[in-house]
Amino acid sequence: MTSTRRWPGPLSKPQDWLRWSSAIAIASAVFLSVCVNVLSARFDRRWDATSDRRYTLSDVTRETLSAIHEPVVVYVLLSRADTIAPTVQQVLAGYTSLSRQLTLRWVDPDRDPGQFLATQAELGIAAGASKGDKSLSDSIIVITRGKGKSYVTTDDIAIVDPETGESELRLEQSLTRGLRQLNDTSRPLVCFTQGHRELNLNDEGPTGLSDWRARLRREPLELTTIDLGAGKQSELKRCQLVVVAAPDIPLSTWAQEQLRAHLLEFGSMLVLSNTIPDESGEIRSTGLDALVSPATVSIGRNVVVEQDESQRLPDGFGESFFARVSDHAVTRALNRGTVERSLRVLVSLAPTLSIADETLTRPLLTSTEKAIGVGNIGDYLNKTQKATAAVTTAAGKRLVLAVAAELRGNSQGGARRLIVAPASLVENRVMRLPALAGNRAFINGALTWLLARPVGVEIPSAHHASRQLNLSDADLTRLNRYVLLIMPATVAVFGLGVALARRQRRKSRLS
Amino acid sequence: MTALIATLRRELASLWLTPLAWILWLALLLIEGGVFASIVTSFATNPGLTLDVGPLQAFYGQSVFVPLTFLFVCPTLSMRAFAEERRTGTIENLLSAPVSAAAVVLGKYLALLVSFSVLWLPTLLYPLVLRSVAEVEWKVVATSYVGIFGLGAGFLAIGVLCSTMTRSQFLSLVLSSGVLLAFIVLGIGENVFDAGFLQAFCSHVAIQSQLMETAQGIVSARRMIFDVTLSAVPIFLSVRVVDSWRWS
Repeated sequence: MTSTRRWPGPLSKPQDWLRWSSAIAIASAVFLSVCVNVLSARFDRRWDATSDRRYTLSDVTRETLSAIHEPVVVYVLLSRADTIAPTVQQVLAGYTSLSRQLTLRWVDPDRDPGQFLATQAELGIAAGASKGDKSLSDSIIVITRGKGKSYVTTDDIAIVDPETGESELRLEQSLTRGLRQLNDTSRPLVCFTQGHRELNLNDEGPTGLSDWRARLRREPLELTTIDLGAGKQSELKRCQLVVVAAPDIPLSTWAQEQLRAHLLEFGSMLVLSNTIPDESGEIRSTGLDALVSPATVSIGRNVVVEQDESQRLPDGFGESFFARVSDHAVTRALNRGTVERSLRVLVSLAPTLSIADETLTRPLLTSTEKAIGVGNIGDYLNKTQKATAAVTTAAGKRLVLAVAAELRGNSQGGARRLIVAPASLVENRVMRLPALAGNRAFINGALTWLLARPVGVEIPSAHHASRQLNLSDADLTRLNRYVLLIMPATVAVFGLGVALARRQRRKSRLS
Repeated sequence: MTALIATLRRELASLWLTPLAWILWLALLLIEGGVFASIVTSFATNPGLTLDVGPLQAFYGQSVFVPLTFLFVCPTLSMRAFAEERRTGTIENLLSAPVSAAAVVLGKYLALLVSFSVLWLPTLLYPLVLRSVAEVEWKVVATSYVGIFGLGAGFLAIGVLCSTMTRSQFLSLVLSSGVLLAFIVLGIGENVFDAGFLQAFCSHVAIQSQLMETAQGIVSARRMIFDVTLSAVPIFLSVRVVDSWRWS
């Protein structure tokens, strides 16, 4: 069959013009579409439709990324077939869309084992390599800037709850922490006092601090303990920050003098207040008053009992409750919140604090107006007459639970800061609960303020929609029947119906 | 507008009154149903898979069968749009009618889009079926379909353009399948090339990555703009081609 296409032959002028204009229009359209695509790739914007906003980066991450002014290469040493690979890819895509300094290099050990081994060698993470107590050979992400390297291992990003066996991804926390570590090479010394039965950094029990210690060790900080028991020589001068973690026996006069001298002359201090009841339930002195007096703060011999039911926990008598957060640099992360996730601070067994000079010292955490300070827990619980006498009320005001003070410069003009806060904020039983991200954000804010450098990346873990399938064999059979039989069969029946109807109509038209 | 609607109705009738669309629909449901059933089975028997990606995310985003269904659905639907009319000569009637080239092309293209949507419509029942045994995020399901529809619209537009370039349906099918295959192959380059222009280009056009993103609930501006240009440019070119037939 010969072609029926008719070529126009010599072009008439109007046709010529039409062809040229058409060619120009096509070229312009293609050029425009290329430009639009290049621009959109350069200035990409992403929207996260997940219910828990799991791919939306937090304010902490955004701030960290905006502070990067030098090229950073992120190596991902992970198989694309790994179950977490899609999430890693999406989260990193969010990072790269926010900072043009970030370059992503994905090395898949399954697809390119040679390249994988070469990259491992280049990054110094061959088998057996370690840094501190971290095994570098487990690294799946390495962040590099110049010669600086930060390693993220599988243990860093996947936290497994030993009780429930459920896994939780903490990818953003690990990546942002890694990026921050590259910016900071110095390691300030944080000293924890010992000798008066303070809360122990190695104690893994509910009132221990092992969980906090594990978190602090991920930061560029050096941790040490200083024994202030019975006239021992202290090395407090070396410490940028001294932490007095809830002594269970009152501080000796010598220890009080040492710590007070340190605060007045050398560095900052974090005092974790506690309550020590005697046999009758009467709250005794902890000896911490002498330390906090330069900030015009006095620690009450009582326990705050919250009577507002919307704030207190259902268990107990109101000694555990959510505190009100005051506006301060320490509580900035709490007040601003991150990506619609609420951050609340839970306190427990906190004594009241009184501030004499509010220009020097400001409250950080308070109770509601309904809270009272109880001087004798035994009397209060037994509802004796003495209980009423030992109750502190703030006459419609809120009781202060935590304060921050900026002391006047020392002889060298160095900044000295003091924070007094309830010890329950950092105990294992609180630090371990994922829902209490507010406590961790508060203590990170406190350390950041005391050390005048960023500490801690507390990004609340989003609630992950459960992806677990509760399928029985019967469910599976029913599902297969729906998708493999009923749905295609319905379409086939409809199609057959249309074909028959059409045939019928054609027949009737012919007849 | 009237011309566009008339063309749309005519095209829809010609598609759905012949067995082609029904066979395509049946094949698509059998393939997607099989894939969905096997994914659900593997998720039910292997709880370790459920760390961060659920069966729906795996179905819409990770399964290679979704891009492969594009490969046979889009060219098959669009191959006859103009090629068949040119072969039978009915295009002459259409062009001699007081209808603009844009109305003809858009009418046919919209009919293909409607048909494509209808083909995918029953798969909405998959999350509905799964709802009783797992938590379903409906917004994420919606973004998954945004991704499928966006890419489908682009590939149908390419199919229409290929159909205007030849009188043979088969050649049109081969041409558009080739272009689609090229997109799939280019997408693999995203994981092959080192960071740089080539990798960025492959990543930009990678359809599997787009499906994975939308299946995880992420809608990105660059992907949407890519989809819009993937549809708009071929349709614009098709209009110019159809217009050029009037000059000859």
